[in-house]
Amino acid sequence: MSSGTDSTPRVNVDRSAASSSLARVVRFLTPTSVFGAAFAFLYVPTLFRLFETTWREDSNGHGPIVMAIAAWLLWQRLAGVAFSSSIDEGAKRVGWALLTVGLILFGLSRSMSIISIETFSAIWVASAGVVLLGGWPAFRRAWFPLLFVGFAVPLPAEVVDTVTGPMKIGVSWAAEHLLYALGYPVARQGVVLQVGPYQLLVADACSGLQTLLTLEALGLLYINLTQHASWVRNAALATLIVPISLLANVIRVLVLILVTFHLGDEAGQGFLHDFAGMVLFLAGLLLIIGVDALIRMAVRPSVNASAS
Amino acid sequence: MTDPHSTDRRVMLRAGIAASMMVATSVAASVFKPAPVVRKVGDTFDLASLVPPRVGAWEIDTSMAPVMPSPELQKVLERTYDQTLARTYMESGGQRVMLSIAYGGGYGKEMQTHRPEVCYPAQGFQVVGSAAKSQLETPFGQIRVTRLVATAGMRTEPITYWLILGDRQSAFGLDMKFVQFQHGLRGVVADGMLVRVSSIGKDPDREFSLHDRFSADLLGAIDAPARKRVAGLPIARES
Repeated sequence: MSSGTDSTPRVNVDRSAASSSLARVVRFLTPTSVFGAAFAFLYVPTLFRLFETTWREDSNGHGPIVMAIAAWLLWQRLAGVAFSSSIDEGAKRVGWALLTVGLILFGLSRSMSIISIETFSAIWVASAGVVLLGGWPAFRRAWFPLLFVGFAVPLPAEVVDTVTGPMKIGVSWAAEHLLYALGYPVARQGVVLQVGPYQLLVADACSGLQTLLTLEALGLLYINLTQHASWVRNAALATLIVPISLLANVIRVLVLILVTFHLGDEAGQGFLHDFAGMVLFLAGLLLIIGVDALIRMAVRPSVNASAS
Repeated sequence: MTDPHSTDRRVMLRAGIAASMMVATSVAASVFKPAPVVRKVGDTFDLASLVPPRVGAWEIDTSMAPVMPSPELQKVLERTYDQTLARTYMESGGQRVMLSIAYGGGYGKEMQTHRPEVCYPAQGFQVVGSAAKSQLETPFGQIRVTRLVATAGMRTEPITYWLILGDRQSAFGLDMKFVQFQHGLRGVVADGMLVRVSSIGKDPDREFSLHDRFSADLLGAIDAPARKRVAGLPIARES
């Protein structure tokens, strides 16, 4: 590239150095990195805000984990997928529509600081990216992690309030009847349970809403990862997680009450803060795996019958 | 046979357009972010001194405390909420009325936790039936209120409450979201005031009339700027 003259060697060196560093930069400019950079520009502040506010609360502890799992699955499933060169016309339209909706949601929620809609918009924008760059084949591989992010979106306060009340009453009712059946001296007033000399209030944290969301997320992840062919089994398990999680929550409240009754108030409060969450999780997990085993046993005989 | 370079260019173009749209939206959203309402120095007020200890024929009674949020919520509120007030007023006849005012951050989670439909059940109360919207007549104008009855054991407590956002009468739910949206477009963040009047009694209608009487007396006992703050009265014509 040098001109060979001594008068302007410096310019030539600079130019070739500039063009080679430009070439280096250009090599990193893939469609993915361009979209990814814009995505990061939009949503890294959202992530920071989530860490500082919503995800600080215990009730939303699963948020970062869900995001991490979704990101990892997305990476795993889209790595190596070629860009869609001859992209479907329909896919292009859907992609732009998804992006438009996502950006409207983002714009409004970012300017008005509504973190739940802001996080929700990320699903639309990310889906748009997958569809626009990879077409339907890419979307088919990526739809689960994209929708899975939904579990990390903070629920609006109104929804939580509407649902938590009846759930608390349901848990209290179930706990009252179970304790009575087991022979304990129990009385109930709304969400306050009187067991022997102890009075316990079923607080919002015990309503089971958080458990329901966490276990449903876990269950759906389990179903998606185990990739079982039978859609009956998948649908059945996904639906049964709802009563399973409610049952797991009642178990937690029951165990807490029994600990308080037999071991005193302090033991009960200690249990509440240290082990209750773990007990709940394990109970739910065991129930899910157990129910899945039962479903598989029910499905298998029909499979054998059709094979023979 | 498609030229691989041209298909790369098409994908690249799409990525580029999408990225530009995204960045533009983000920048626009930051530019149009509303700033909090800047209140004039004279506007800062002390809730406790705004509400006088004598309201008409009513005087503060220290023997009864209004229902407050649970301790776990109280900690959150102390961290975030601007000012709260909880008082019991008593008449010479022995009638008692509980007044609870929460002033602060506008339409965030803080305001929602003070909402009686949430605050009372969280304390172990049960809401009888459903909350009903109503109008409270005062000599200074009408107030849009919500009325409900909460019970806990022997305690039956009819409640009347209203919400003021940015000196305007509002209500929880869609109304609040609409006001928030309007404020957002104009670039302001309003402050909010939740006023709750309740009493103990088995006959809701009788207690609600009591609330009406107390509220009218309260508005009469404070000056005009305070009336605007506390009840959004007089109602401004939409500009």
